[in-house]
Amino acid sequence: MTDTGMNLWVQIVALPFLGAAFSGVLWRRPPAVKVGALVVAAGELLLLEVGKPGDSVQSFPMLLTTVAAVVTLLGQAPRQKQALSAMVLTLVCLGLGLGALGGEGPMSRLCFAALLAVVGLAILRFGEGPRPAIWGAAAVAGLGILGLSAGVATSGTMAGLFMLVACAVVLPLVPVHGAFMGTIQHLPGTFPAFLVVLLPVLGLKEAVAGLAEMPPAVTQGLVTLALLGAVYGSLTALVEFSVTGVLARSALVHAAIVWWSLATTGAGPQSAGRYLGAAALALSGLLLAVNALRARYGPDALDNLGGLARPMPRFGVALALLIMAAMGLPLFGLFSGFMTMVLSASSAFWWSTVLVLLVWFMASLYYTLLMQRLLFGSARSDLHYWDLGRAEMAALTLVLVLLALSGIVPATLPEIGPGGKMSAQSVLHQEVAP
Amino acid sequence: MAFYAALLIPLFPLVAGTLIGLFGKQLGQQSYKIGVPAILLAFFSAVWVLVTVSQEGPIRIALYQATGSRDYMQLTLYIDRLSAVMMVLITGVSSIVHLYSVRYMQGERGYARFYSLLGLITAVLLCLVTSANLLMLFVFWQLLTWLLYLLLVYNYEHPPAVQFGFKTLLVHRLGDVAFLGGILLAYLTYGTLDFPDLFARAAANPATVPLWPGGFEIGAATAITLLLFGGGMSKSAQFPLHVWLPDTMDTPTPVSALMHAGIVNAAGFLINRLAPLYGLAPTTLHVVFVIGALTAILGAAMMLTQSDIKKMLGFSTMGQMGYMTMECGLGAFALSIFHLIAHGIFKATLFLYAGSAIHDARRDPKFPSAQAAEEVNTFPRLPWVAGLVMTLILPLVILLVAHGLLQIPLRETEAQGAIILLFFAWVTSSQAIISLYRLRAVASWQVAWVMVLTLFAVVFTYLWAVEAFMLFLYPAPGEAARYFQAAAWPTWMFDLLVLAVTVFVIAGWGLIYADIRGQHVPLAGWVNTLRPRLYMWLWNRLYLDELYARVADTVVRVGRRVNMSMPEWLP
Repeated sequence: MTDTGMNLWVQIVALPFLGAAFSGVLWRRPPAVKVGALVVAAGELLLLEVGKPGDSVQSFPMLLTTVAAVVTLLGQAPRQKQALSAMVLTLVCLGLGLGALGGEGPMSRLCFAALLAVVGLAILRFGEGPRPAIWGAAAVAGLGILGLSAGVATSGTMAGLFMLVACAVVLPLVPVHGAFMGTIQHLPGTFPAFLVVLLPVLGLKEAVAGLAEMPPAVTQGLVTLALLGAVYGSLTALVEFSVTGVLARSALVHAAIVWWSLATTGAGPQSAGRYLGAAALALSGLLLAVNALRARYGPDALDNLGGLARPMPRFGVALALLIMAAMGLPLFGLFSGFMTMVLSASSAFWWSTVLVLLVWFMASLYYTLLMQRLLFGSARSDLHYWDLGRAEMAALTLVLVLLALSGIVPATLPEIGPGGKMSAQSVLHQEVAP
Repeated sequence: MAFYAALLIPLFPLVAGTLIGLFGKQLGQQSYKIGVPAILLAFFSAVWVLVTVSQEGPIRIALYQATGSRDYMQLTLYIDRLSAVMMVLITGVSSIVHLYSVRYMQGERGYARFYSLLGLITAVLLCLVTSANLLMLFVFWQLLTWLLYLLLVYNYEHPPAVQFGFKTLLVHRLGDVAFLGGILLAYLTYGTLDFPDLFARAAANPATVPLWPGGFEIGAATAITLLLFGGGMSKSAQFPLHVWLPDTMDTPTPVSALMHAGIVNAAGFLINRLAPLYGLAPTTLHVVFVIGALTAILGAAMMLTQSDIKKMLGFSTMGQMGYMTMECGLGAFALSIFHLIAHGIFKATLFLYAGSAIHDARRDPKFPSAQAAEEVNTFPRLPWVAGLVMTLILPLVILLVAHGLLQIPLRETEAQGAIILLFFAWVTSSQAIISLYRLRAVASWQVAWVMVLTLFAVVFTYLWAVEAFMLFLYPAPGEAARYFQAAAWPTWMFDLLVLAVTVFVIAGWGLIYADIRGQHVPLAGWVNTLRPRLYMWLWNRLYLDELYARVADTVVRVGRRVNMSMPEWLP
């Protein structure tokens, strides 16, 4: 890395940390903290746009992560319980995440490990519910740190394998998916909505580098684990009662499909990256929407809500569109990513493609059931309803616009991970055949 | 100008649907003021485009085209005669539904939502029928699934509406998976999804694919068309994916009209759009015929056992869709389009009239007025004989033509086409004549003459009007005849089919005779035992709903067991 590149990297990592430190000064004024955090995230965007660290392949994941930070901070209700912690944690993880995504060698690994440590500690600090689940999630985050350390200490295939373990923690793959699911289920405010973008994107970046050197036996094993995870996630999502639990399991399914694509197509990450970016954004939007309910009615009431379409029409429309995007329907990026991925699948793995298609079918079931449960039926009469506020609506609209853009003009977007350049032409011409 | 008109046809309802969706709260009960003019403009544009395309040839409008390794991502509208006819049908039925709903839906809380969804689903249907490649077709195919679901759960506070809407979504998504499987196989085999290229490569390259690694091989065209037909089966309620259709009656009547008149026709359109590919897959066409025949028979049989009038209409649509699919399976692709147009107009009228009748009945408790039932104690011999003779003339003609003893002077489709058209003319006229007899069974020459006229009208329509329509849709010399040839059955099998249907028709007349004369039909003991059982099976819709529910329960049970078996620290 050149000196200029190094300086830019330091600025990119340091800015969110400064923002997080500054939040301490404004601790008693949550709306001011929110504005401050938003300014920092916007500044980060500007820095990325002006500085242009690396090529488009490197900068796009960073851009996506920063946009996710802006959106989640925008959608955070400042008066929500633990909102301040969520915003500060978002800034800290933004700095570490960008450090890992934009850095090289040990610096990148250090940021990655620190990020896992923050996530693990946050789960321990904020996690509510059964202790074994909390400790299990934190332990898996610790396993990721161990994998990273062992990857640095060893070399060759072993190093690659250890790195893959760390990647499997953040881009969840059974059996080390606990930490990722813990982030979705146990962390406060809109912080999970940010991590659901940052962690998988980081995992993909590292996995692509590691997979290229893996022997066929390892990729075969990965295909098996990915399919196992996809089926396991789909089956349990169908029977899961908790709203965040359904989203966590669906995240596992999306990640499993990405692993399957990476393992079956060898070094074909561009299609997997497109899919992953869209899936992460859709899940982020859904988590934002769910957090809007949690902010109003508390975490305990979340699983007993229903009939929201009538009293909260804006929420209803946004949720229906996000569900549509998450289940892989057209007009949104997930569909075009999925199509690109399956059309580039190797025919040698046709049986696994059939399984992936079935998993894709099941996604439409549990997502629709979730939507029906929240929106349809009669609303509870013991609650006072108020629809999404301007900031929440703006955040969700931004997510939907990004998802629609990636779905309508998919070929014009850059890739996550190395891949062939695409060009697109938008033409309007007429041919009248004789 | 036709180019812009073609572009505007889907754009009008799309813009209207979006505007109403965005400003529904402000527009409220005035939403129709945007929706109705937009759809009428689309309809007139569609008529204009149909005329232009008929005279000048197809129009191709490329809106978006990715290049490089993802060249299959393209948004191109292709309007040929088939698309233009479908556009006129869709905008026509949608216009009627829009106009009818202005007053019918007045006062509903979801008035604006209804008009918004109506506009959007019309736009999606229009884009679907103008898709120039398989991927674009699939995009709109899926959007149709979703929008149909949203229309079906219009009364989302009503649990049965939500339950049956979900059931519909489930079945349609299953079809979507099969459709996607077909697309994948097509792309992996031929490397393209663009229709002309796909057809050309499939014709030039008779590739095969193994059913499992190293296993039995079948033609790629057969496998692809079978998978795509799986998608069509769900949309067109073909057995055994028909279970959603009869349960979708909790939706407003105009939605039922649009669904039964437009959306369920998807399989017929799909096969016609991919006719060159289906023409390369005779096995698929035979499967299509069998599925269609089963659907037609079971749909009609189940309809007879229902007591709910709306469910009867649902099963009637299922039967008609089976009939349409049978036509495709015999290579009479254009006939299926002719059929779906006629059925669409007929069913839309029926549903909308049903809606009005229900409204009238709500206003007037004495509606409908009791009419004195006219008891007919005597057996009307003349119309019975006339009916029997009329329904037995055609099978004789069909067998004569099939064995080369009689020539029907058709322009393009030759003997094979004539036989198929006569076959369907026979089934339709038999149905019409028996219905006529049941409605007006009096001994009069007038009734007998009406039966004769019915037969001639039906035969004329099928032989000449349909043939003209066939040449209109497939103008290339020999094209329609080629599809008939591809779907041709061995002569002995066809003879057997004709004989079986003849026995069925004679048995029908015999039962009518015995019923009116009050005579006991001597049947074997096992037949008498079988009858109530068969009735119960049909009344319970062959217990397919229960079977599917059991499968779903098993999946859920497995999911629960897996979930419970995991340790607490491993979510």
